[in-house]
Amino acid sequence: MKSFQSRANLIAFFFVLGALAIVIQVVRIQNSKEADSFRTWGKEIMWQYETLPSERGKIFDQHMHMLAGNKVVYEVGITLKDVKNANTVAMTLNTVLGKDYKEILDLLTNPPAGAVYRVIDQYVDADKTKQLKDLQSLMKDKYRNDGDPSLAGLGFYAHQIRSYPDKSLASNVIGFVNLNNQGNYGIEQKYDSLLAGVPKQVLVPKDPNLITEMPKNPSGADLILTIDRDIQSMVETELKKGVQDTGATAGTIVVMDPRTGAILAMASTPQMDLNDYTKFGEIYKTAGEFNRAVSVQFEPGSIFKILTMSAAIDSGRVVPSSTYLDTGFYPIGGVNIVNWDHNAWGVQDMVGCLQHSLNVCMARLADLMGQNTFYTYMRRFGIGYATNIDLSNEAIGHLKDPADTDWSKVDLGTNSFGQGVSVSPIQMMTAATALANDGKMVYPHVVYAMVSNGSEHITPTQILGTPISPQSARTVSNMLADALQAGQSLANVKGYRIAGKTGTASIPGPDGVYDPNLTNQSFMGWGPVDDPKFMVFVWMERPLKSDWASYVASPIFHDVVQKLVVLMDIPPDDIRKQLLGQ
Amino acid sequence: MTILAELKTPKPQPQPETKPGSKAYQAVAEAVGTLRQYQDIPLRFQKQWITAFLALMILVGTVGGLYLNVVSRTVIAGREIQTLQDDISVGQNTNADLQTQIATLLSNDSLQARALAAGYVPIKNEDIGYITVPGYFPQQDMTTVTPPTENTDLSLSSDFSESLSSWLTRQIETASLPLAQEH
Repeated sequence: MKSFQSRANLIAFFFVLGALAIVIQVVRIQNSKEADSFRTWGKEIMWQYETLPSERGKIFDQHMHMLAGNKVVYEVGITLKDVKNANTVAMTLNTVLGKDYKEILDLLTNPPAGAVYRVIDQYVDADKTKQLKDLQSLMKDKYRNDGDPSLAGLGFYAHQIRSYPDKSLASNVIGFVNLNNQGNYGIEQKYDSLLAGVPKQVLVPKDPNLITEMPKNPSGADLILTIDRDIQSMVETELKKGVQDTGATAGTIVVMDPRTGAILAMASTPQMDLNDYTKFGEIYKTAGEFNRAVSVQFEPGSIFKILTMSAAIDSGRVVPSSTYLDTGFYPIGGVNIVNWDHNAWGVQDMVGCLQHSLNVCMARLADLMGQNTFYTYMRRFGIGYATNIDLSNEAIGHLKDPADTDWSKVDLGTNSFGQGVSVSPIQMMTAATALANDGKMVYPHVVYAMVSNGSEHITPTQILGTPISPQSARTVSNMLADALQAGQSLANVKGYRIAGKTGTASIPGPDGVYDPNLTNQSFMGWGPVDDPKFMVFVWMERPLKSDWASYVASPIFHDVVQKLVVLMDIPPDDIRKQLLGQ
Repeated sequence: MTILAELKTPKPQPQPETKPGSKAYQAVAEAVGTLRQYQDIPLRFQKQWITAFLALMILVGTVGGLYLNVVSRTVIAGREIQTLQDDISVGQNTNADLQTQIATLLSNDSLQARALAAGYVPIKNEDIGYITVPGYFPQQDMTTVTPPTENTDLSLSSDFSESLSSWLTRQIETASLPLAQEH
C-alpha cells in the first residue's frame, strides 16, 4: 500500500515537473528574439496601409451643366502566380486591348525574378473591361482541366479619371488633369488643391475582429463657374467663324458682366478636346497660347485711347465739347506723332477725337495732363499689374514709367494711343469695367462659387479701385456710344446703344521695329450704355482680310452681341425702358 | 454535523479479502475501499456536489457559448462592414460614371444636334417679340443648388459597435425594465 502511494506521488511529481517545464518553455518562447520577429511579422501582415482616394471635385457652369466630371476606368493587371494558361492571357490581351502578344507571353513564361504582379494597362474603359471579365468567367465555367484556356490571374481594379462631357467647350478656361491627377492650366491648375481633395492613408486590419468603419474621405470641392455654357458655345462658334473669315492666325473673344467682373464666356484659338490632352504638344507651341485672353500680352493700340480720354476727362483737363486743331502731327519728346492716316483732321472735339481715333489728339491730351497725372491714372487702371483673375498663367503686361531708365518723353506720347505698352485682354477689360460700372473697377473672376461638404462659398464682387469718378465714367461711355453711332460703326447692334472702341495695333518684330504689314485688331465694347450688362472684347491677330479693326473686329463684335442679347434676354433699349417705367 | 465534519470523520471500512503477495489485488482492494467510502457519503451530499459541479459546467458553457456567439457576430459584422464599404466604393464609382454619362448626353453639341434633328432652328433677334406684362419683374440673379451633405455613419448602428459587456448590460437593463402599464 505504502509503495503504491510513493509511486503515485512520484508520477504526480513528474507531471508537475512536466507542467512546470511547459510553463517555463512558454515564457521563454514568448520572450525570445524569434518571438519579437514573429510579432513584428504578425503586425505587418495583420494591418495594411490603404489609400483612400478623394474624388476630384466637379466643375459646373453657372446653370449647373457639368463641364468636368469623373468616369471610371480600370487598371488591368496580372498576378503572375495565378496564371494557368499564359497563351490564352497573352492572346486575349492582344485581341481586346491591342497589347503585344509576344511581350506578354514572355512576361508570363519568363517572369522577372521576384515579380508578383504586373500592370498591363491603367486606363482601360468600362466596355473593354466588361469584355475581359465576361471572357474570364466564361472560361472559368467552361474549362476546368489543366491546360484548358483560362484567364486566371487577370485582375481589374476600378478608379476614376477626369472626363469632360463638352470636350473642347471652354477648354481654354477649364484646363485639364493629367495622368498623375494634377491640374494643368485654367481652373484645373488654379484650383487644383481644392478640386483634388486630400487622399488619406489608413491602416486597415485584416483580422475581422478588429475591423471598424473606414474614415470618410470627403471628395474635392465642386466649383460653379460664372461661365454660361450657351454663351460660351456661341462665342466659340463666332470666334472660329471670325478667324476663318478674316484669315487671322489666332483670335480671342471674352464676354464679361462689367457690374460684377463675372466672366460669362472666354475663348481663344486654338482649342483642344480636353479628353485627349495628349495632343497638347501638337496644338500649342507655348504654354501662353492655351488661354490667350489671360496669358498673352500685346500692344493694345487704339482701344487704349479709352483710358487716356478717361484720365483727361476725370482730371478736368478737357470736357467732351473741348476742341483742338488737328494739324496732322504733334511733336513730343523730339518726335512727331502722326495720325493713323497721316492726315490732318482740322478742328475736332473730344467725341470726334474718339470717333476718328486720332493719335495726335491723344498725344496732346497726355502732354496736357503731364506725365505724372497720365501714369498715375494708368496705374489706377491697373496697367502693368496682374488682375489676379482666378486662372493660371496670367500675363502681367508692361507699362514704362518715368522712373524707368529707358523711359523718355516720347513714351508719354506713344503710350497715350496704346503703343509701347502691353496688356493682356483681361487687363484691358478690367480697366474698362471702371467706365461701364460708374467708375468702379471690378475683380474679374471665373469661379462663381465653391461647394464643399454641403456648404456653398460664393465669390463676392470685389472692387479693385475707383480710378475715375462715376460722372467721368458715364461721360466717357456716352462719348464712345456717340462716336460709334456717328461713325456708323459696323459694331452697332440695332436697338441697342453700345459704347466701344476699335484698336488697330502694329506688331513689333523681335528687333523692336514695327512690321508694316501685320496688325493686331481688336474691339472692346459694352452695353446697354445706360445699364451695362455685358462687355465684349474681340481680338484678331494678324488678320489678312483688312488692315483696320473697324472691318475685322467690329463685325465680329456685332455678331456676338446680336446673339448675346438673345441669350442674356436683354430686350432692346426702348422696350427695356418701357419695362423700367412700369 | 456539517458535510465537512462528516467527510473528515473516518468510518470503519470493510476490508476486502487479501491474498498476501498479490499487489494487483491490493490495488483493486484499495480502489474498492475508496469507492465504498464514497458510497458511504450520504446521498444528499452527493447530489449537492453533482448539482454544484453541473451548475459550474453550465455557467462556463453558457459564458463560453455566449462569447463565441458574440465573437462570431463581431466577425460577421466586420465582414459586412468590409462588404458595405466595397459596395459604397462601387456605388460612388457608378454614380460618378452615370453623372458624366448624363452630362455627355446633355452636352451642348449633343443637345444642339438633337434640337436640329427635331426641326428646331436658332432664334434671331428679329424673331423675338417682347410683351410688357404689368407687375412682372423677372428674376435675374444666379441661383445654384447646394448638394445635400452625406451623413451615413455606419458606426451609429449598435450592431457594429457593441461590446460583449455593453450587450450584457443592455440585456440586463432591458430585462429589468418594468412592464408597460396598459391603460
